[in-house]
Amino acid sequence: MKFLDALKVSIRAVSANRLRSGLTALGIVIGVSSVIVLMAIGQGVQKGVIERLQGLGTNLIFINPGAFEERSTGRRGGPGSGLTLTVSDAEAIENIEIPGVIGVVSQIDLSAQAIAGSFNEGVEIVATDDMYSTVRGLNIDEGRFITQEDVDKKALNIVLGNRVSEKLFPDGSSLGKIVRISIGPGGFISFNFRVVGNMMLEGSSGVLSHDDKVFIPVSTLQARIRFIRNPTGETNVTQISIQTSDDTDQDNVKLIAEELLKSRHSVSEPDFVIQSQEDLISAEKEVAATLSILLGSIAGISLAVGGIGVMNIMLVSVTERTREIGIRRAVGARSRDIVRQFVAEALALCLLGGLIGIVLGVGLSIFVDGKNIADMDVTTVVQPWSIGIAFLVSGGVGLLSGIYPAFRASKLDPIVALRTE
Amino acid sequence: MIELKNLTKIYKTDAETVNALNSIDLDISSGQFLSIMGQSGSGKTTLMNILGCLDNPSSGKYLINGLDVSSLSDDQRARLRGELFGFVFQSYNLIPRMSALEQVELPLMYQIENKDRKLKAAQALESVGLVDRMHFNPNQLSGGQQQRVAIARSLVVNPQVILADEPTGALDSNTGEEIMAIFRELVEIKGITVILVTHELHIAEFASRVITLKDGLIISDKKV
Repeated sequence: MKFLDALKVSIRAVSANRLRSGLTALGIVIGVSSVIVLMAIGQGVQKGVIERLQGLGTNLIFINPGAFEERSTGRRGGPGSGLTLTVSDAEAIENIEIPGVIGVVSQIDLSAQAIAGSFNEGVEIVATDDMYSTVRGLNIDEGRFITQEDVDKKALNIVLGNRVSEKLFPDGSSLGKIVRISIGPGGFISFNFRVVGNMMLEGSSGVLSHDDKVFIPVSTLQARIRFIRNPTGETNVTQISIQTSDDTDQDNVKLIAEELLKSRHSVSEPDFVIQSQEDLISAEKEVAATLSILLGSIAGISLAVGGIGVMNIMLVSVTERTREIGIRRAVGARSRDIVRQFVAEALALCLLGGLIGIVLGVGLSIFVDGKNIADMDVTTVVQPWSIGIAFLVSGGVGLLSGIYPAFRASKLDPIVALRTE
Repeated sequence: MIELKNLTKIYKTDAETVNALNSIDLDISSGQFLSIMGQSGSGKTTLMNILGCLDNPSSGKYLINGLDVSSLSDDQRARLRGELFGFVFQSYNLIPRMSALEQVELPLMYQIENKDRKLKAAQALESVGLVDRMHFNPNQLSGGQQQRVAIARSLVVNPQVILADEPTGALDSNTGEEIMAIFRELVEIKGITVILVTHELHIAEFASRVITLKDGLIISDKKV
């Protein structure tokens, strides 16, 4: 029997029993559509993370205190766990003028309460200098960012992130207004700052977003809060950011900065972590890819269950049509013709389910994209290859679930089959 | 054209061994109309299955046009069934939910050369007088009509031999005689060899030669 004939016969058989075929294919529909939706969510998470990291600015290298290595004390120090970087480290990197480096900026991050009138808001202080907005590519909505003059004068000026500004001054512009910043337990250190600028909304959320941050001159913090200095009188920083030009070999910059800091700290192994934006993105991509695979495998289980349903129905179908098989054998069908017929039937069922599942899955992915579900903003990205994979897998499931019943059908003795009622 | 030499078929079960056919010798020439008679259990159905290449003998030789069937593979026997033989059964053995035309087309699907299937199937239906019923499903046809569809199905491949197993068993005597008239016509006009299995004498006597089986042995072989 020719393949096209086998296909025609199988499509007839599938459409002869609509309800049963529909219910059987439903298992595949659910499996395929959930594979597509969950993969799309995984891809959406990856896209979101990468966009957030790219939103940090362009061509950045980050240096954080602490190290990955095992310490002599046996304690493992994660990035940021030690206070090893100082303002002068950042200045030293700036001063050796590594080729391709556009800007170097250090920052001190501190949690604080911001108070304006009756409004009180938990914020993250970024104490830094005028380079920060350039290096991080921040945009001013109104007013200005911190200037070199602010830093020189240790001015009590503050720039507000967009959401902070909205929350503290819901009724109008915050420019020129006073914000009280309280640091430490019970807010025992408090200063009044004058708002000199507001940032544009970034729209993203999480620790990397600047919308919930406020910016003050680093010198103001150093002058007002003694405890942030270490015993040598230096000020520890939370992070140093280096921006390079587009065509710069970032690995080279990383190497030079690393050697410099190692010699400054008199250590043989780095007591800091130096990572480019690309490093962070590829690490996050790996995490997101793992997530995608995990979600896809969970959905794959439902596809496997669907496949078992198809196999079950095919076995029933073979039993019901024993006589038909006998007739076909008597009129000249070879065993392999019978195998082909039943495999084609399972394939037709699964590919039908697969196609509906793809339409449903893609539709559902597009539908949930951008929706807020259970307090989470869901982003979905349907990759064309995930559709291809879903289609191939449903075909594979069809083959796998069809082969055994088809083999059983082909092994029936035609004489016995012809006599079966 | 068909030669059986010392043909034996033994069925073994755990409890007993049954000699369904016991060293049978039989020659059937081309264009013959042969009836095989016998009580149930005489071995006539076993003989029919072996003749139709649905079953293999336990020992002995079965030659068709000089070709030893027992040396053939399963696939080769399937091909032989599809091209050389047509089958007609007591219970018609039509496939439910398939139109008469599709039933008749079916054997052609398994042929290597299978062009003009619809046309050939329609011609076969015409030769049994059912061309106006070709889009009917089996449940829309009478018993006699269903058996005529089955005959058309056996004819569509231009077989050399038609094997009919109690073809009139489920039909009233008038319709049975109509069916037998068709078989006789096939022998006389188309020169097809028809081998008929029956236990009814008046049906067997439509043939030109009647052999009778008992306990796996041929006990009589008469020309009518």
